[in-house]
Parts: sequence; structure tokens; C-alpha cells
Amino acid sequence: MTDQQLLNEYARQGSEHAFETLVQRHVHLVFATAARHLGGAGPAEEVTQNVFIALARKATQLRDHVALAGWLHQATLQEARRWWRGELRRQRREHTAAELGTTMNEAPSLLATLTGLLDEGLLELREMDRQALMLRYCENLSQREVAARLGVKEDAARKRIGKALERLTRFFQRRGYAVGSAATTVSVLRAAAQMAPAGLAATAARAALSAGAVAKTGGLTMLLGKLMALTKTQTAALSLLVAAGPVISQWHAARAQGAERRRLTSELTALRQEINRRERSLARVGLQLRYSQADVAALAAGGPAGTEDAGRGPGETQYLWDEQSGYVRVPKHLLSQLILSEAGMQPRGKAKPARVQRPVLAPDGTPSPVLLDALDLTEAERTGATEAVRGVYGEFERLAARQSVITNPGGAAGEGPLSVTLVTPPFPQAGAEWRQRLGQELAAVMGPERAGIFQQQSANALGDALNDFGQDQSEVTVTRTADGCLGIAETYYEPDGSTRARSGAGLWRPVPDALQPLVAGWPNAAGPPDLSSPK
Amino acid sequence: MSNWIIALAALLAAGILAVHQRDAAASARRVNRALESELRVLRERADGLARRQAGLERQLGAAREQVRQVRAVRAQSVAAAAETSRPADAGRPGGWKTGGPDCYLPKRDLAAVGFPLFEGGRLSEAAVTLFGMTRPEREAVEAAYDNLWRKFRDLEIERMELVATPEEWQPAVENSLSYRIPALGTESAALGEEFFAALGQALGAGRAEYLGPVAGAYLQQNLDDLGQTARIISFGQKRQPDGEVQFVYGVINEGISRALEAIREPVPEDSQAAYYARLLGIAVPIKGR
Repeated sequence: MTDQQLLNEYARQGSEHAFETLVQRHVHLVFATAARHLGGAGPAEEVTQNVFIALARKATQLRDHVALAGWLHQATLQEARRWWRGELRRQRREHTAAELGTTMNEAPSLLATLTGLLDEGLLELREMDRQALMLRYCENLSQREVAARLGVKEDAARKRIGKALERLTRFFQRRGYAVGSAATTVSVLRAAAQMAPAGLAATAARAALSAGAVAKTGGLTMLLGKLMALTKTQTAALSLLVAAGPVISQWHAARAQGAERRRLTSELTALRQEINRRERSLARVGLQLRYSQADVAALAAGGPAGTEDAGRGPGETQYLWDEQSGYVRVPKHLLSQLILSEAGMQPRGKAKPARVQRPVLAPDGTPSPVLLDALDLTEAERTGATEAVRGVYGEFERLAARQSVITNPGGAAGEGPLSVTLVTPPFPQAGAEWRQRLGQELAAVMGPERAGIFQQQSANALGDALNDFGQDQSEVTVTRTADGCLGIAETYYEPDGSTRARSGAGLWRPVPDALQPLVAGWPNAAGPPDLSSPK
Repeated sequence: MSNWIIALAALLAAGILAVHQRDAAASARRVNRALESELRVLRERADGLARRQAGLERQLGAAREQVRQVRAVRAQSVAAAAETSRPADAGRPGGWKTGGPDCYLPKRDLAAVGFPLFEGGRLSEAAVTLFGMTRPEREAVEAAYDNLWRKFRDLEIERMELVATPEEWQPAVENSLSYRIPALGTESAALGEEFFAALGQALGAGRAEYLGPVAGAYLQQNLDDLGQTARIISFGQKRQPDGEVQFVYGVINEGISRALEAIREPVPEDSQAAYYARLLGIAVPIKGR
């Protein structure tokens, strides 16, 4: 069997016999090579064992390797170098460098010199040539046996050996040595051959087989075995290198997603800004179109046009500002778009105070001075209007006091969150009478035109104060929260079943008189704080 | 053995890091999918707006042509409309004329009277009339507001970032989309100053003095006080006790206040809810649309 077949048998089937045969064949070659470089049998035996251990471990990888002898030769040289490195470190530690130098300085013979160069020369040859020479002269095989090992004819093997000798001879000559012919080279080769000590083959085979046992099971176990042979630093570095793969992959993925997010955000920003511009532009064009269409309609009706140019509705006049006057002139129809009351700044906790519009009628029914100024009422007219409103307020309060009910009077006592509720039922008939009478009284005071504007402006305030002129049922709930804060919630139940509610701070309505005694001890029981005048 | 320990420790550390990175990548992918979805919606909107504008401009062109043609025949109608300007009548200090078209308001009450300042990005009729603005003055004020609005909104858009549903709204609010807008600080304050300066330039110091507080209140209410505080804007859904799912709009002014309101009916077109709904591609009912 060839070396390749034996190695295959060992690698695939774990044949110890095949491996031992390989060792028997090449132990002399390996030992001789080691001995040439190490100068002693002991180190050479150790290196020989290491080489065959390496062969056992790499059997799977090498099973297709043709030139096994060449591989063994190179492996032996590497092991020898490794041995020397270790030896030098040891000797440096033991301060025997001087002894080593003395040993190395002995003047060698030509044969010894050439023997020292032999391995270098062999490495210069092609693998098959090296293989042929080592089989012929280091393992002392016949040409026929060499041919069988190489898998070629005897004649081809003879020629190969001859050419290899010539090349090796020229190597020595290039190095400046007087090597006359290939015969000298043959002598060198024969001199380099050395028999391994008896029993070394068996010892090496046993050591290799036990160390290479893990190699029989395949790649993973072999890898683990290699891992165990590494230093701690090498192990850490290798582990981090292996582990870095998925980490780097995920890092790249996260980075790519981050870049994509930035791209999308940038595109969204630009798109939103564009949409804003388009919407503003669309609104402008829409308004221009409405004005133009109004002009078209006006012209079609035979009236004037000028809406779009003037930016105003058809037939609208333009009211100018007079710096000298203390008044502004406004069309009466505009009053329905205004709230003729005072403004105040409402506190909002940590937030900035907000400007809010006070009701046109104060809680006691007093009309806002802004409304009275706009209607240009005299003092007598103002008094008359105030009395008319307060009259209705008074009638409502008297009727409400008689008919309202506190639904949970016990709710004002105790600790923790408390609440009391005052329910005022609807009285639509009385409310309708008040509404009619109020309209008549206001008209009598200020005339029907101004009375109409007065009622339009005060409609919300009257509706809240009078439960929409008695149409609604109302519930006023005063609560004291767990942290001692007072809140007022008003709920109005309208005839159509809908409800409207107000609650929280800043209410314009104080605590109902009927509930005042119950909540006298509560904070802010007198009512909401007074708001400052607008700045 | 120690080699095994080193190898395991290294692999464990790398494994933890890889899992962390994987989660970060997965989270980033989810966010990107949401952004892509929003991008698709907004692209469609932008295309729709472009088509609508093109349509309106065609109609405007046609209407203007009609007006031009009729005016060419009835040119004096234009002249008649231009002569109906009415000054305040300095000789008459206030007064109410029954049956007459006009009345008088003391200037001292202008800062108190309640009225909408802007409607749909343009000055309201009330604002123009109360302050006696001519057409150039009106256009100047509207241009100043338009400039403020555009720059403020651009600034908001540049700074806003997608965030998770705020804790304040969890777990009640579902399927929410939330964006955080950091406090815009001096940049937006400078825009406000620029606007008020333009008001003064357009109307003069006298009218600007009365209009200033009204304009300030308008910006505070309708432009979130020009973003002086950081805000988180959220749209989502909230399940009611009766099982009905309600659209909700939430605003958190960080460190100051928070409010979550149900959207039960169409929101005003000029409101912040309507603006942010359009901006984020949320299908909220808006009045007039």
C-alpha cells in the first residue's frame, strides 16, 4: 500500500495498524533529519514523536497528500526549530549560552558541512524530487521500491532520482563547495541517513495514536484539541475573533438602520414643510377664487365688483383708522362677531397665564362697561339696564332657592374627598316669562335696536345664570379633594337630553348660597379668585 | 480548563453584545417602518394638494377672465366701489344713531374686546374693520403673520422626533403616534419679535399698541406660545366604557401641564389639533373639509 492509502485507512477507519506501518516506514527519515539538526539522540527522539503526533492529528487533512515523506521532512525541520527555540530560552534562563556558543564553534568537515546544508538543499527541490531522494537514500529503498511508493514506473523513478541528485549537487556548488559530481551528493545523503533507535517507532506510534485519537472523530474535536494547545492570550484572541463576527454583523445592521432613519427623517421634514407651503398657498388661491366668484356673481346681478382687488366682500365699505379720534367707527353688524366684555389673565399653575374673556354680565348681573360703551348708553340707561337684569336674577334665585335640593348633605362632613350637590329643577314657564319681560324692559330703556344687541351679547351669561331661562335642570357640585383643593362643577341638562358642563378653577359663578354653610370651612369657599385686568 | 473559561467568557460577552445590538437593530427597523408608512401617506397628500391647487388656479384664471371682460364694459362700477371709504369722523365723539349703519367703540376698549384675529391664515373681518386697515396694511400684516407661521412651523418640523407613547397616556391610549418637539427657545422668540416689529411697521405705533396684546394672546393660544416649552403631541385611540373606540388628541407641555381630549366632532380648521393631524397624516375630521 502506498503512504496515501495507509493514511486514508487510518483517517477514515482509525486503523492503528496502518498508522504503525507508516511510522515504521518513515521513522528513520524523521529521526535522521531531527538528529542532524539537534545533535543528540534524545532531542531527536522527542522531535520524532512530536512529528508523528502531528501526523496523527492532521491525518484527515493529509489523506490526499501524495508526498508524505516530504511533508514529514518539513514537519521535522519545523519541530526541530521549535525545539531549539525552547532550548535556547531554557539555556538563557540557566545562563549556558556560552557553552552553547562553544559547542557551535567546532570546525566541521566538508561532509559535515554539506550534511548541515542538506535539508536546505532538499527544501529547494520540488516535492516529488525530494520525496524520491529521501526514499532512495534516507530510507534506503531500492529503485523498484521507490517507484512503487511514488506510483510510477521504475525507469521514471530512476530518472527522477538522477535529476534530483543533479539539482542537489548544483545547490552545493552554488553555495561555493567543491562538489565534483553527484557521487559526493550521494555520499552526503547516505551519511545523513541514520537508524532510529530500536523501539522508537513503536513508542512514537503509540504516542501519536493516543494523542491523535481525538483526530479520528473529525473536525470539531480536532479544533477543540487545538484550542487546548493554545496559550491563554491566543485563546482569548481567537475567541474574541470568532465572537466578533455576529457582533460586527449586528452592529452593521444597527448602523444601517440608523442611517436609513436619518434619511427617512430628512425626507419627512422636507415633505412636511412642502405640504405646509402648499396648504397655505391653496388657502390663498381658494380665497382669491371665492372673491373672484363673488365678483362674477355681483357683476352678473348688475352690481359693483371689486372684491378681489380690495380684499373685501362685495358692497363692503372700508373703515379707516383716525389717529386723532378716540373712537373707531364700526358697522353695527360687526358687533355680533365681537365679545363686548373685559379680558383678564387667568393663572394656569406653572404655565403662563392665559388671556381669557370675562362674561358680558358679572355674576350679580352687572353688564360689562365695554358693552355699555359700545351701545353708547347714558347713565340713566345703564342703571335701567342693570336693574332689569338684576331683577330677573333675583327672581331666579328666589325661585331656585325654594325649589333646589341638596342631594347629599352628609357629603360635607368627614375627612378625605368630600362633595355636596345642589340640584335646581327646570321651571320653563317662569323662565319664558322672565325672558319676555327682560326683553321688554331693555327695549324700554334703550330702544329695540340696542336691546337686541344687548341680549345677543349677554345670551351666554344669561343662559348660564338662569339655567337658560329655566329650560335646563342644573347640578352644581362643590368638591374638596384629598389634598384640600376646592372645585366647582356645573352640569346643565337641556330639554333635548344633551348636557353641558363646566368645572375647575376660574369659574365666574361662586358657590351657591344654599351650599355656603356646608362648605364654610373649605378653602376658597367664598368663590373663585378675582382676575386681574388685562394689561 | 482555563482556556475553556476564557473562551466561554469571551463568547458570553460577545453574545450579550450581539443580542443587544440585534434588539437595537430590530427597534430601529420598527421605527423606520413607521416613518416609511408616514412618508407614503404624506406623499399622497402632497400630490393631492398639488392637483387641487392646479384645479383651483385654473378656476381662478377663468373667474378673473370673466371679471375682466365685464369690467371692460362696466369700468365705472369699480370706481364706485372705491369711493365708499369711511373715516372715523373726528367731529363726533361716539354716539349711537338708531337705524344707522355704524356705531362707535372707544379705542380704550379695543384691547379688551374679544374677536378672532386670524381666520384661515388671513385677518378676520373684525380685525380689519376694528383697526381700519387699508388693503396694503392688511396685506402687510398677513404677510408678517404668514412669515412667522411658515418659519415657526418649519422650525417645529426640523426639530420634531418620533417618540414612544408617553407614560402619562399609557395604557389607556392605544395605537398612538407621538412626536416630541423640544423647546424652541430663542429662535422662535426671535420670530415673535420680528412679527411684532412688522405689526408696528405696518400699522404704526398707535394701532400696534392696541393690537399687540390681542396678537400675543392669539399666538399663545393658537401657536402654543411659539413653542417656548417642550411638547409631546399624540394622536391615538381610547376605548370608552361602553366599548366604543374614540379618537383622542393629547398635548403634554413638559413639566407644566398635560391634556387629553376626545375628538367627538370635527375640529376647527385653524386649531392646533387640525394642524398636527394634517401634518402627521392622521385622518381627524376637520370642519369645512
